[in-house]
Amino acid sequence: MRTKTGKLKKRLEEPDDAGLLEGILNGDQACLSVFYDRYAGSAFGLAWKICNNRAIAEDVVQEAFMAVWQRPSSFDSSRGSAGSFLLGIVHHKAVDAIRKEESVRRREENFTSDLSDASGDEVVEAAWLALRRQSVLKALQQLSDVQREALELAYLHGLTYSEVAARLRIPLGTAKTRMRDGLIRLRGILDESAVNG
Amino acid sequence: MTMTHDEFKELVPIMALNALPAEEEEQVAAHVEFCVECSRLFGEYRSTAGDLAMAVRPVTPPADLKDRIMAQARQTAPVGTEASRSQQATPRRSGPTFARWMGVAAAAAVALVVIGFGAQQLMEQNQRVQQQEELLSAQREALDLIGSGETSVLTMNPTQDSDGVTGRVFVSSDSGRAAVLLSGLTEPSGDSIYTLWMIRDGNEEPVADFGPDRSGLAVLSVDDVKSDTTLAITLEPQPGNTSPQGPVLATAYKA
Repeated sequence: MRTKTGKLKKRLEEPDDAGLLEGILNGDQACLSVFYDRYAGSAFGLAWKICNNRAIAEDVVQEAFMAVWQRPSSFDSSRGSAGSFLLGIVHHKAVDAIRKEESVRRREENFTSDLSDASGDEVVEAAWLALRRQSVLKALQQLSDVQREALELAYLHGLTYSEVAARLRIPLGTAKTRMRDGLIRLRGILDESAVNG
Repeated sequence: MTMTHDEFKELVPIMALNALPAEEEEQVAAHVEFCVECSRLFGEYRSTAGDLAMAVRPVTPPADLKDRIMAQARQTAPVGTEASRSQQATPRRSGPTFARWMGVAAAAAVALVVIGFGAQQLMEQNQRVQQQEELLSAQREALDLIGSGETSVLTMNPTQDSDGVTGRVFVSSDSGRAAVLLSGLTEPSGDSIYTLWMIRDGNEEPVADFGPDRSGLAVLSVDDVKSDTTLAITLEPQPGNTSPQGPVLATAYKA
């Protein structure tokens, strides 16, 4: 680990995403290691949830961290947190993977909400990460039931809007509207909670 | 079917959720690439979608996953670092370098895991998505250079010597500041270097000598782009030329 700059060392001692990405931009593998420790659980949980296949989920997470490592400059701090940036990459890669093979996913299983505290292996979650997860869950609770259901199906099950419409037996336009309005409303709530602390 | 800007804009949040069918995603992504407003919105919605992912309960990954990632990181330097610049120094069209072979080996490893369910298609799609993300990132960088306000977009028209070089110019109507986003660039050999020129009133003024990043992209800023101005890209035999000597690769004209 580089210790030339006291600033960076301090950031590592007091974890800060921007500092970690700055380190990654400078090719500091120790920063990548800390970034991994911080978000690997969330990334693997998301990839596994979408892919329903442990091996593919591992590959997805590996590809996502390598994408951050190779192009950290793609991150724009004005558009969200480093964690959201990473998880966005994980999601895209996971959805790409499952759409190539029907058998690795649970398209036919009965839909139940995935946004609960009761699934997956136990993982020691940093307090701040748990708080952040709670704030997103709280924001989701402020959406209407149909918006939340559409978002969960699309995002956590990796369904296209036409698949969401088929699953819910609603018109295509209605599915698109629920997803779009849900995401826009979620953005507003999260922005507001960020402003209000 | 041709869609209007408003129709594309309505689909941007759906694309941020990765919930568009492939064919539709291709159309919307092509629009987002060129539309300033939709590009900004896509970045914002994509971030919110990433927040949504935070709602999923974390799961402990296998212990050796970190080892694999760190081992791969040791083989590949991030773009923009000294190490990556030495990787970039190899012309893109020459034979494979060690790093490129390592990339091929890594891709092959992934292919072995997912073989049997469209590995080739998956890799091609991942590559396409990565290229799209890199281009969008470069476009955000370009837009940040000129700041907010009304923006016009010009196309860098390739010449017969362009060899794949294309681009766009984003011009702020308020300040006259412009950002040039170029793609399809290759690492010049020897002392050769790309140069951006501004031509007006019959005078050719060099704006910047530059090289591409590893994705073949470059983002440059130009101040004071007034009407009746041409911007041109040439490949010069050496840096510092005060008048163009190399072939013209692409041009854009601001009326």
